[in-house]
Amino acid sequence: MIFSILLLALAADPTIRVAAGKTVEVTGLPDTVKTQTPEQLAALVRVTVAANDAGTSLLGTHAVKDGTLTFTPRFPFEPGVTYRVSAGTATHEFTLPKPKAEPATVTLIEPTADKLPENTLRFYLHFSKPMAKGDIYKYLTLTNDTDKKTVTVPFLELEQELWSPDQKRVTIVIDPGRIKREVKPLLDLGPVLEKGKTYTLTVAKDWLDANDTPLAAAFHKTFTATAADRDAIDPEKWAVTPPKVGGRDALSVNFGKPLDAALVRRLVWVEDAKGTKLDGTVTLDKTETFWRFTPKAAWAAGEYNLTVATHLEDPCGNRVGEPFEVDLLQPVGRTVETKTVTRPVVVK
Amino acid sequence: MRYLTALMLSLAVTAFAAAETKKGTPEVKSISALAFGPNGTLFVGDPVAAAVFAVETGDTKGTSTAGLKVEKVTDQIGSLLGVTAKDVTVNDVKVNPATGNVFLAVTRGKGPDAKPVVLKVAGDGKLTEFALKDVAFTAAPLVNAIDKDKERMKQVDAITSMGFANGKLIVAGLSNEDFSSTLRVIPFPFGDAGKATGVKIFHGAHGRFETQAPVRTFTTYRIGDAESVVAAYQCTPLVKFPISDLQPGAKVTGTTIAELGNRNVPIDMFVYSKGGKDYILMANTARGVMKVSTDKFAVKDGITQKTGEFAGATYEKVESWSGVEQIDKLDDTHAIVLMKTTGSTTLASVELP
Repeated sequence: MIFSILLLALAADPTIRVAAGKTVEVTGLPDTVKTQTPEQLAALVRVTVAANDAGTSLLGTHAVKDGTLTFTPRFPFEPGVTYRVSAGTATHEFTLPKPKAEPATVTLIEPTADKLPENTLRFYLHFSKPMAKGDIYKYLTLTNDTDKKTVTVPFLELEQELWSPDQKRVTIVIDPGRIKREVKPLLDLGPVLEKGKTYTLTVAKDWLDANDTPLAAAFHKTFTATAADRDAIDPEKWAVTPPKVGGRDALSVNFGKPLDAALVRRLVWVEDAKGTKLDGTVTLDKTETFWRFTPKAAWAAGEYNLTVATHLEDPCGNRVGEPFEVDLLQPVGRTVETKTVTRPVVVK
Repeated sequence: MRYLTALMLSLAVTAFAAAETKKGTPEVKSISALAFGPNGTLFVGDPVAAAVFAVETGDTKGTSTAGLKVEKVTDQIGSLLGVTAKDVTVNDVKVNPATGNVFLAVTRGKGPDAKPVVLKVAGDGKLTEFALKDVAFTAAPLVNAIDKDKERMKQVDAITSMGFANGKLIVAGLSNEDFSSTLRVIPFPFGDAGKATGVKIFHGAHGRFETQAPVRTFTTYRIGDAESVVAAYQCTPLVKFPISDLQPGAKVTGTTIAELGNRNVPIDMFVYSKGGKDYILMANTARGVMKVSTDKFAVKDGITQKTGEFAGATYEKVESWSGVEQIDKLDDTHAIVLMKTTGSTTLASVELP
């Protein structure tokens, strides 16, 4: 009964307006709206997603002031989505324009070397813009170019994708079950990468960015697999070149093998004799085998420490003093219990 | 060090406040996992904020969800949130054991500014928002110190699974940078901020190689006298270890009790009884749903030999359930599942196999 009265009263056709793309305002409603409950107002003025089933309305609040009913959605209206407003006999559809943007590109895949150990554990894919989360594995293909075949399910397909918070970098992990020795997937299916063979990791062009735009182009990284690297990282073996006193020359370190690009940027640093971390910039070079630290202030003469967190890894997951796989039949066990190790550096 | 301490202090005071329950709006930045604790407490796992929030839901009454069937559920969620279904991700589905009401962790959008939302589904199939606003909550950070370093800001520990047992919340995760295997154990009610203790989980293959082994998903189950964690590792075997082993700083090597088969990606699991026997029901991406017999779980040494006589626990595939993406136990005879079939996602109650 109330409903039919409302319909009658609405026959004058209310006016629907989208205010600043943020709220929906309806005028020309009968005076009775002033006394309606929020539920009644929600039934009177409904906002739905046009593409979806009309049965469910957007979450939001309805408020009446000076004869205008304002609907404020719980979440901002999304550009590109068409919304339908129904107020009695009046309906109105609107779509906020989607800003046009240049497509994203793959800027880098780490490790950057074109020769990678066959037990390589992870890749970092870097993009020029934030990308869309979800269903990413369908955009990735690993082909064995030597045998001209596609590698079947090479990656750990995690439901919780390993994005950086800005969604410009995603970590792809090779299925550890096909790297760890004596584990069923490796025994049954064999390794993902085999020494001596050439592979191409392809990122498909149709991977969407956060703005629903596909990549500008597909991206390929071709590399040859080399012998497995099962050695722990040993900072004692690093070649450290001290800088000259007085200038801002880089302190440089040659690791002797590539280290994990993300971890090495934050898990190796320089401390002064008091243990204070020096300010400066780190650059990586020569396929993540070289590390250079350029300080903000000129070097003073004295003793410094090159400090390394022991959870630093190489791209195969070997850590400082602890290989990815500890062979319990070998006499050398896990030896490092400390959180950091240091190498003294004298600047003179 | 002083800087770090100051940071930790400010962290404790501002973002996570004290551990005592307060009413307010938790600053939830993302939700990848949910779990229920005692008295309707909902644990919300937030990998971006690197914290778990314990929210008092006040959810004490429910009508039976045993007949629940919500078709095109992602369309309906999209309609509520003002987007199309392609911008809806259901990250987790959990049943409040006290009421049978179903809680969904949803993400609206796919970009870095995507919004986390918790939705509640009652017995009539109606979806409502469980607003994380003006709620009683406590929080536990998952890292001991937040470093403002630009490079550090890219590091996130994905939360792959959470469970509550013996007064402790257990959080499994995987870092997007290192292959760490830390299982975090947080006594609940949460104590002082930062009291999550890490336990390193290892995998011993055939008694020879030992590797770090992050846990993908797990459940808790009493095996013999020991309340245990039954877990699926990222490298696929099903393992067990006693909860009592989860001591601060401990190193725990799981006993392999089943090989789950290759290309198998376990998503969720829980324990139930049928015909006087216990089973673990496990949802997988590749092999559908598996019903694993717990008969041989009590085995002492597990699978350690390549050609050992013990082939591990047996399982059968539940053929009638396909496309299961999320699963949780509803009651003694039913589960709630989120199933994806061509073009449509359904949230429904199904009878346990």
